[in-house]
Amino acid sequence: MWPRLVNVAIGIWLMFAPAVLGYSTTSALAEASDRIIGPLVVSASIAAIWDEIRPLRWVSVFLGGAAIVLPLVLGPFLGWPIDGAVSSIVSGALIIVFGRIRGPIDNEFGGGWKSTWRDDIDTIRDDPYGREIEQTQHGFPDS
Amino acid sequence: MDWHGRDETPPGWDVNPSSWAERMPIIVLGFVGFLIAMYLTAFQYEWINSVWEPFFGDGSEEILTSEVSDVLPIKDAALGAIGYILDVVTGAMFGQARWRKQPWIVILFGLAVGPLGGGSILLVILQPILLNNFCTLCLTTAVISVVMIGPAMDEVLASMQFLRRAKEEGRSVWRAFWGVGDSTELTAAGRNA
Repeated sequence: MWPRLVNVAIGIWLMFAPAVLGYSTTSALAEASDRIIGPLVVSASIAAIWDEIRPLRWVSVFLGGAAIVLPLVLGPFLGWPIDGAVSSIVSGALIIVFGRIRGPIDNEFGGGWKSTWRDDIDTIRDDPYGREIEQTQHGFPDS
Repeated sequence: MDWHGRDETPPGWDVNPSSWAERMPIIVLGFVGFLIAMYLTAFQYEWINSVWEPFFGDGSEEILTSEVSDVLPIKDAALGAIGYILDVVTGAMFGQARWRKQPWIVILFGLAVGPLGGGSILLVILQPILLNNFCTLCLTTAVISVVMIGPAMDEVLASMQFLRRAKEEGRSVWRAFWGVGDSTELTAAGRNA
C-alpha cells in the first residue's frame, strides 16, 4: 500500500506546485501539465490500492514518464519555468520508481481479469499472478 | 446473518465480493457523495446563497458558478447527484449471491462506479486548469468517486468470470446475464469443481 500512498503524495504536490512555485498564472503550459498529471496520478494510485485493480499502477508509471518528457521536449521551445521543469522531472522519476513496486496481493480472485477473455486460463485454478490456488476450501483472512 | 456471505464465495476466491461486508462501505460512500452533490446543486440553483469553502477563498463560488458548470442541460452537481444515487441503488439491490444471480445489476453498478465515476473525476480535474482555482467539496466528491472504484470492481470481475464459465459450459451467456433459467445453477458446478 505504501508505494501507492507515496505516489498520491507526489501527485498532490504536482497539483499545488504551480501555486507554490509561482507559475500558475505565468506559464499556462507548465500549469496545465502539473494540474492534469497530478490528479490523474492521485486517482490511479488510490484505485490501485485495491488488489484486483493493482495493474492501474502502470497508469501512474506512464504519467510519470509524461511528467519527465513534456518539460524536456516542449520546455525549450514553449517556455517552461526552470523550477517547474525540475519539479516535474523529479516528480515523474519518483512516480515511476514507486509505481513499479507491485506490493503484496493478499486476496485471490479466481483466474483474475485474464480468465474473462483468454481460453487457455482456467477460471478456477489460476490467478492473474501465476500462483496456483489450492483446490480445498479457502480460509477467510478478513473474517 | 452472515455479513461476509461465505456460502456464496465465488470459486477460487477467498472473499465474497457481493457480501454486505464488501458492499456496505460503497453504499455509505455513495450516499455521502450524494449528500454533498445535493448541497452543491442547491447552491448552483440558488436555493442557498453561499457554499462552505475552508481553504480556497472564493474558489468554490467561482467554480460552481462558472460557464463550464452550465454546459449541460442540468447543472453539473445535479448530474453528480444522479450518478451517486445510481451508485447507491445499484449497489444496494439484491442479495449476497447477486454476482451470479443478477449479473446485469453488477455490471450496471460497475459502469456507474467505473466509467461514470471516472468521467465525473475528469470534470473536477478540469476545474482548476480552466479557472485557476480549487473547490474543496468538489475535490471531496472526486476523492469519494475514486475510493469507490477499487471496492466495486471485484464484484464486476466475479460476475464476468461467472458469465465466462456459462460460455465455456455451452450455456446461454444472455440468459446467465439476466439471471434466468438453469444458468443460475452454474454456481454449484463452479464451486464444487
